[in-house]
Amino acid sequence: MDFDKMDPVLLDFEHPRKAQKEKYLGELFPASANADGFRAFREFFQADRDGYAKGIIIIDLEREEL
Amino acid sequence: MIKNERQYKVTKSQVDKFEKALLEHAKENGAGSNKHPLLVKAQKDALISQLKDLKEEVEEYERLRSGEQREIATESFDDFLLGLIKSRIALGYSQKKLAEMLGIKEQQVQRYEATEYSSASADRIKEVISALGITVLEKIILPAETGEKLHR
Repeated sequence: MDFDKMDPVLLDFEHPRKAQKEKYLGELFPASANADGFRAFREFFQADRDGYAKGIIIIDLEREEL
Repeated sequence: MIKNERQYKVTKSQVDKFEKALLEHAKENGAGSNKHPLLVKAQKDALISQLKDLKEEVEEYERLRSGEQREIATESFDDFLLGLIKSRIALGYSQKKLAEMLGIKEQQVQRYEATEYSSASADRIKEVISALGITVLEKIILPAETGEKLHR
């Protein structure tokens, strides 16, 4: 992955990711920081506020034709 | 927004996990790391950003629950509806207790609060205000251009 070509907006996490949300109507979290980071993000997105399991989907960008 | 003790505990445990991940990230990416600096920074910023969101929620709940706040400012109707939930927490009533006071099931209060009262009738909202014993001062501001047609 070429980070120098990446839209800097996707690397802007200030004002809780406001710029990302405005431009892409979504947020990008590089969750692979480390094992704990990956687990923290995965568990966060796979649970609702009450801690109950919630589904997520995985899109394999290398396999999907976009 | 955290609305009950269960959500508070869940969020606190998430804070711990993100804090741990952030510490680990700092350890792994010290001198000698061969990752792209932009990736290292993005990973760190993402963890910090998420951690900040979670901490703010925890702090807001703790502040409300302390009962020190005696007034809740509302600047919009949505704020006011959220204010009903904040008031309940600040008064130290659980969702179950409010349900008992209203003579309804706890799950119904949870549903009202999950939708920020958008699923509640005006009558029900009046009952909640009365049960909590709160005073609501709302100001209605008319649009600058008044409807000429209406003033015949």
